[in-house]
Amino acid sequence: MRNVLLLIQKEFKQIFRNKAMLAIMFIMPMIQLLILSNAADLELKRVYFAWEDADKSDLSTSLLSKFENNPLFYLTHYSDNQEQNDTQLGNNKADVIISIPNDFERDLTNKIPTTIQLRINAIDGSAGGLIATYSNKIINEFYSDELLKVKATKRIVEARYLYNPALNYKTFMLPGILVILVTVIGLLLTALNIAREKEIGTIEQINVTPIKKHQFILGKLLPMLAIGIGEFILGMAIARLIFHIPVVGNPLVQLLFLVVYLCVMLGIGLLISTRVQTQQQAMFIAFFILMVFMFLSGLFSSIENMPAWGQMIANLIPISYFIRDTRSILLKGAGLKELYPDLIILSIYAVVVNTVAVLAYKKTTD
Amino acid sequence: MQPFIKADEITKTYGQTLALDRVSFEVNQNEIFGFIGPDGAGKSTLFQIMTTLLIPDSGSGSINELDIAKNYKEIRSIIGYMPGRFSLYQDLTVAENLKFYANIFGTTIKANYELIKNIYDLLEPFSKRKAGDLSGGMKQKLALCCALIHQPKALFLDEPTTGVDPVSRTEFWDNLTQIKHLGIPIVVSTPYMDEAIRCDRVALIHKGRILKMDTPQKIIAEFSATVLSLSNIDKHQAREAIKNLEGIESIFAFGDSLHITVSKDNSSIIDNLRSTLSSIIPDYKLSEITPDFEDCFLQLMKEEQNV
Repeated sequence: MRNVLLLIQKEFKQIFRNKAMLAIMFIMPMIQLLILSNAADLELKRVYFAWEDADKSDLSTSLLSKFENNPLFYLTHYSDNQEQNDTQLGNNKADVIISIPNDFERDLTNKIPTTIQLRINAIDGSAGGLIATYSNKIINEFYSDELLKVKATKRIVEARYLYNPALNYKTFMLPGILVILVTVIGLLLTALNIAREKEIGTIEQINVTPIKKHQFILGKLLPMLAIGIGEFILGMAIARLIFHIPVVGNPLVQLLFLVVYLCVMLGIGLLISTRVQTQQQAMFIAFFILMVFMFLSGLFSSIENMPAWGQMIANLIPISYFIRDTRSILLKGAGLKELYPDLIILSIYAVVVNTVAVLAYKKTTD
Repeated sequence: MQPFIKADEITKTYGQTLALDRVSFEVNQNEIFGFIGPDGAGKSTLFQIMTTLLIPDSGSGSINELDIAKNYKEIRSIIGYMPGRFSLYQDLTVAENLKFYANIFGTTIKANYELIKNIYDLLEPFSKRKAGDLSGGMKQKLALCCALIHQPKALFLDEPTTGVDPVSRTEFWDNLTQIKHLGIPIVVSTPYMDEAIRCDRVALIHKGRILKMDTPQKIIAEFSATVLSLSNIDKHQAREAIKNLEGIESIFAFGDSLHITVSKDNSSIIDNLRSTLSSIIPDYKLSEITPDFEDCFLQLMKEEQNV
């Protein structure tokens, strides 16, 4: 225990002495958090639409004014020429063409089901989806108003957005970005730190001392764990104060998940460091793993939309669990009762990864 | 009395390369034992095996009757080791490094200050400087302090003077002699032949094999040939002229001159040499010199190659 404390003390001395490294560890991730959270903003601010009206009735005009009165929608073109409208869509003048069929008014008054066509620019899939949702909402409202007038009884589906009622994209993204940053710091720093001792040769001197293997490893991992936790708390402070992200759940539950998750990441970093001789090698292996983590984590694309094999990998990597759990705890207020299966899985990961890493670590030179 | 440090037939290979070939040696207390040999001779490998950092393919060793394979944990707390490469924390200060290594061994600087006093006094003014910012000689002194701070029963120093200036090297060897008198046996390696004379016994090591092992004085005394120094010549021209003469055993370049080894008591060879030289290089200078350690080593290496 005394040796572990000595090692931890030594580690912190080295970390806090290296001003450049401190900045890299604390200031850079926070700047990234500020920039990325603003940049990775998929919120829809403005939808330009073209109006294609074959009916030109009172009712269709009334629907048009509904769209025009919506703060999100801007009319850019009015024409019943389909080809002309499609050109608008093609050169990005319009995001959506709303096409009203012949006999729109007649069918509606006679309660015959009628269809409005939306032709949406879906190059950006999620934006396309949002346009469809918003348009549907306006059309549904219009239908229910008009049908009430004609005393219809048809029930209209109404969507309500729970947990993130304003559909604030930052609320959704920020916890995920924070998780990524903590992952990078935890995994990369651990791998690089031990690889550095190998590269510079300091490990040779340590290896001929009575310091035991587990003491050396604890002396490395505990400071990294502390840094990871500090990083996360700092990030949460920014999320709370600058982005006003709600913290609905119990912060202690969040902390518990964080510690278990960090143990997995530090274990992976340790495992990498046992396999390499230089910092450069450690860096490349860590980067490769981090890339896979990032793109399959469900942060940038939802796991449900991945192909079957992608979903399988996504369900294997610990970061998917932690992003999901962090969102659940912070935004939904989920607790241990709902999330304990994930905690068990993360704990198993932590035990397995660290056991393998400790077994792979050798005090003798290769 | 049992020798304090013992190695028996230690062999180590790296892939196809034979790094150590059945190396055996013994070191007694109150002895500085030197391994002299060029780079790549296997010195560092031998040190890593003796300090329990490497496991030999075959052979055994012991320190203070502790087996290097079985009792490696006990050995690690009774030896001091200075690796060939500076291995202290460069971003910690002189004092912090020393304190760290003292504490790791469960002791304090104060408790063992007497042991390092002579060396540390020179370092004291720089105690707040980062180890990485020290000069080469100072770094080695600090490393020696750190290796000594837990009062080890034996010291292993792998090329402690490589890259250190001549003055610091002399000081360093003075320190080693003092430590030896405290009863701590020292195993040291060096590529510098002139340092051999500071050891009590030396082993000449080349390509993983010990060529000769004795006191440096005896090794020089047993040198069974005459060494001539040839100077004031064009080295290349002279070498070409004499290399095929009868009775010349070896020619090595030493600075501006050539050292020529001929078998002892053979005046006819020397006469022949003189007459050959005077025909090409009239104002040459030839004189007999006392062979030094380097002559012995080069001669032994050549014999080894001829076998």
